Amino acid sequence: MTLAQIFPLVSGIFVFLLGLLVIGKNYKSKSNIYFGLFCLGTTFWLIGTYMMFGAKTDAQAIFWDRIIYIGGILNPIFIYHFGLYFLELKQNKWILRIGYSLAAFFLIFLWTDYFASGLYKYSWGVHTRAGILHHFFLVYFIAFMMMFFFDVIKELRKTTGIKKFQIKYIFYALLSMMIIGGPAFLPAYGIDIYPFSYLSGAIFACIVAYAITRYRLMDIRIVIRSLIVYLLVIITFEIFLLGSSFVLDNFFRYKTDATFFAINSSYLILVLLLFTPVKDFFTRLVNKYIFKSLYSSQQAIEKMSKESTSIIDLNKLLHLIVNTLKDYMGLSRMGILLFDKETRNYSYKVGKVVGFNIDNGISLVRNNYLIEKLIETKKPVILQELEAQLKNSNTYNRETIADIKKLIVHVKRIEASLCLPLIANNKLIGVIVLGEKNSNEAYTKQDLELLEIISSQAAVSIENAKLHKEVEDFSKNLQKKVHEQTTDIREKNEELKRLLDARSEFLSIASHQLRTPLAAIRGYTSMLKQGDYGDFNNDARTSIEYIYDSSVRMIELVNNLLNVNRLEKGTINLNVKDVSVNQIIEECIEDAEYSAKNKGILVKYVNSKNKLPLIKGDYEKIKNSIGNIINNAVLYTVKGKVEIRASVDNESIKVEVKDTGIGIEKEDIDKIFKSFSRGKGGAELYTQGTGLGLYIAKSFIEMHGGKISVYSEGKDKGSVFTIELPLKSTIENNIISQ
Amino acid sequence: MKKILIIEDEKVLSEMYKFKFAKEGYEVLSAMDVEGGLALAKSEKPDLIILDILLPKENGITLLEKRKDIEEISNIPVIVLSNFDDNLTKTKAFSLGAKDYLIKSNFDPQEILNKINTYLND
Repeated sequence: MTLAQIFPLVSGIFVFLLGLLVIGKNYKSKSNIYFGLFCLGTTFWLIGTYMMFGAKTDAQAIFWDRIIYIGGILNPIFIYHFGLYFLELKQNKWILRIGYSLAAFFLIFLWTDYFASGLYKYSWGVHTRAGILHHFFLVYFIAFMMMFFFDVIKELRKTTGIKKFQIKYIFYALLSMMIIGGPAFLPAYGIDIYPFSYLSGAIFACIVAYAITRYRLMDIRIVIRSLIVYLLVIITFEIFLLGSSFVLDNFFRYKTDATFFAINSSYLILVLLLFTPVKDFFTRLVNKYIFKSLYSSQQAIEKMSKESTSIIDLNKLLHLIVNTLKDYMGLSRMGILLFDKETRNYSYKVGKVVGFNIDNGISLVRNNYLIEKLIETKKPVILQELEAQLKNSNTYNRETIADIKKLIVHVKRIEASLCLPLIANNKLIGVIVLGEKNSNEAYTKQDLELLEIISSQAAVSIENAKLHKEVEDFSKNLQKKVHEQTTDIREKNEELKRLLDARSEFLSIASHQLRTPLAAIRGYTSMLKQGDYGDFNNDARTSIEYIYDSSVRMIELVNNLLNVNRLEKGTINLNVKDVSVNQIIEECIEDAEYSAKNKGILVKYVNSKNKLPLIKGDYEKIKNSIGNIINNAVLYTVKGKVEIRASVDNESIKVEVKDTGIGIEKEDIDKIFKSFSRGKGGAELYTQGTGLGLYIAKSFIEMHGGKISVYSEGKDKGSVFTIELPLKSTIENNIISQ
Repeated sequence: MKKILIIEDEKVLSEMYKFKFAKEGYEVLSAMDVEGGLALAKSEKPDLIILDILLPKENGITLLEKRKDIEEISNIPVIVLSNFDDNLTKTKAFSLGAKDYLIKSNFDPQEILNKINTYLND
């Protein structure tokens, strides 16, 4: 076997398989069918060439040359027809009918001497002599090929994107075939030219294979991979066969048919045995070096859907998506940008990137044109297609071109080859950014299908993970906030406690220190008043009275402050003895009588029919409380009387103090028992009040297990204060241990 | 003539009470602290002791405690007259035998005198 034979044979097998696969891939596609038929025609030509070189007799040579012509006759009409479908052109039935009629005509007359007769013998081999019809055949051949090229060139200008590349490579493949294969007809006219034409088959096959892998021509990448694998397997065994037959020929000289048959048979067994391991070996090799990015998309999708459902951690999920896609598609760079909710301004933060230099722009994606485009179209943006569109810029208006250019700038800035929108709930939640493939190949239709499936799946998973993260962050945040607030409150509380302690300390010291000079003032003025130091004139006596009253009031104020302080600190104790409430009332009336008389108010005590029993209690505190109520009644009554009633039933002693005074407005009733709180009218009538008396009275009575309440019909309607003290004391429980 | 011992460090007050009680016909002795008070009580055997609580060096409660252990004075009635108004101290004073615990600022000297009269005549 010579080199001139190997080329046509290998290319012939390849082209034949290519044709079968193209048809097999999609037998419903007309362009696939006609491309397949063209491949079949080409196979006739290439296999014919292989056989012709090996022809032993002239008759054999003529036969195989005619076989070659089958391809020559069929190809122009098939390729023309293919072109019409592939370029999606309007078909002229008459041209096609004429074409097929001519092809049929030539096929019939091919076998006559009108087409070819006899042989020209050249140094490299033989070729049939052109008959009369051969001239017409050439016209037909050139005409249909020209029509095809005319269509291709015309469409090449119009088309954009990936299709343009496909057309371009079809054009290159056939042009090279014509240029190299064209001179093959010359030897038919006695012109001695070496038939390089058989190379054209191989070149055609290579270009088409390249277009298929790089530009998704015919969408048979996976098939092509298998084809290449099988081709490599065949070549390997072929070389082995050639090598072994060379060795046998030259060293052993076994020329008998029997030995040849034996060798061939054993070789066949060897091939059968070694086929699978050799095939696997080439599959691995091809996957590694030629089809690095050709993956099993099913596998990728399965992996993603299986693993992504079990991952709820956002970072882990992003890691999975990025790594899966990067590995399966053999990408140089891969990243996911996520819509940044915190800034709200459509900014995107890097979720996870591999291979990108973060400083180079991928971290800077804002609400730019690219994002707008992705939101608008919800379709991937592919740099390659954009660039192809730009190359064909004459078919677009200026605005569209500007848009494309802008988009290209944006895509390039983030070093992307493909930007895939992540859509969840019809909203763009992020972008998957892909760099170019390690193999430098274009993204295929299959890639895009895979990416779209994975991206929609990823979007849902990411959205879930984000929600989960948000909830988690929220609860963490909440916890942190609660902790902060608690600490804050605790600190404030401690500060407040410290302040309160300081205040009570101050009050306690101040009060005790105030008492000594007050005792002196009160004591001496009382003695002056009582005439211990002799008589005074009326003015002096009045002044002395004033000083005395003032000192007493001041002492009461100090006592009140001390009591409030103790009440608030909880350090007040009851000094429990047998107490006569009746006596207390009488003493209190006595104390109040002086100022009542001055105001012209009658203080009347209506004693109970039943004698009031003694109760257990703190004499001073009960006196303080009852005295306070009676004093108030006198203080806040301008004219009229104060009536005090005491009664007893089975449970308690009830002391009622009724006056004809200023009364209490409804809104004040609730607050008059609170510390530092006074009724409105009270503050107007008697400015010196502190708002402590009733608070202390209430506290003291309650310490005895009693109740204090007030009733008033309103302003100027007088008031009734009622104190109830239980007969059976519950005091024991209230005493703070002494 | 009955003797009253006033133990009070505040001179303004002790003079005031002394004047009042003397006017009533009592013999009034006065001491500035616990030590002086005890010495006077032992030597003079007063009929009643008026005792302040917040005194220099030792306080009035100490006197009450010591008094119990000195037989010759342990029966002398004691009225506490102080501005120190603390429940614990009050309780303690009563438990050590004080007859009364009066807050100075809450009583005129006359009122205190009335109480003294009551105690001395009982």
